[in-house]
Amino acid sequence: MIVWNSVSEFFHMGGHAPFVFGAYAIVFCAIVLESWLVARRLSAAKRVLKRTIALREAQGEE
Amino acid sequence: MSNAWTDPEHFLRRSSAWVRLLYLLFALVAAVALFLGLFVCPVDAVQGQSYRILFIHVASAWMSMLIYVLMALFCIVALAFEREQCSVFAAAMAPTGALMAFLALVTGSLWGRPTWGTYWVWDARLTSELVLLFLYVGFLALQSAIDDARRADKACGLIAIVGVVNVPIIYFSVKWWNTLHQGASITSKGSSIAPMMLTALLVMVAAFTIYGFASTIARARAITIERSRRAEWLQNQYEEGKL
Repeated sequence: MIVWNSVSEFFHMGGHAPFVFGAYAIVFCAIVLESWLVARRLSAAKRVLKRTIALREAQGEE
Repeated sequence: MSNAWTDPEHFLRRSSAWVRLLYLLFALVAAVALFLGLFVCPVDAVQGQSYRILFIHVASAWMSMLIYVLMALFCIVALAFEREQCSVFAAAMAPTGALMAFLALVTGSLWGRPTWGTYWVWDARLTSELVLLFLYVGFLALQSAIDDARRADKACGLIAIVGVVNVPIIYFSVKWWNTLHQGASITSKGSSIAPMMLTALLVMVAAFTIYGFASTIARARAITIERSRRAEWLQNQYEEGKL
């Protein structure tokens, strides 16, 4: 099923390893970075919402 | 027409579970696609091993075009029926679409160097994909330049709708002009790709599509919270721990 005869053959990638693994690494990093940025934006939005609620409650008590 | 696509309250209630499920599904499908693409598919007789880049190149290029078309459709609905939530979805799609266009260009360059002998040529397909990236960047720049969300939505909606004309240009560029970029390998008449390679490609396209939906929905949740933070229903949802 696996087409490679050895690990070194896989990592050599027919002499095109920098291009193939470089492309996959860039895509992997981009997806991880974007997912992290989205998660960070979502938590920032929730923090702002929490502050808005606290402010509203403080104004209500006054 | 009160559903998750148009009603922010309904959307926030439902979407949390969807996001987790989609990210999990993406991880599973991407793992299968990577295994097939890097370990199971045989070497290409003409391109050698560098053809393995095409699995991610085609998937990202496909997503960059699909996302732009969806973005334009959401903008049309938002402008025609004054549905703000549709503008939220369009705004949420733009960064992922821009990323996919960028990845299509970068991975294409990395494939082009060993195959064509150059990272870049001003070929019709490459140039029109670059124009797509610029349209995404223009959309995002305009969105962040206008403080009033409703005005920003209208201005960005126009960019998205006018710019959608570029998508068929990208697709048909290899037919309309004599280009270095190869023609379509998958058409309505069939595919010229070997079955195992086609399977790996389609699984990778599925993984990228799932990722596109996951990141769009997650970002749309953030934008919805940012815009509706003063709404009583949202504050109630937060206090009930349902966010």
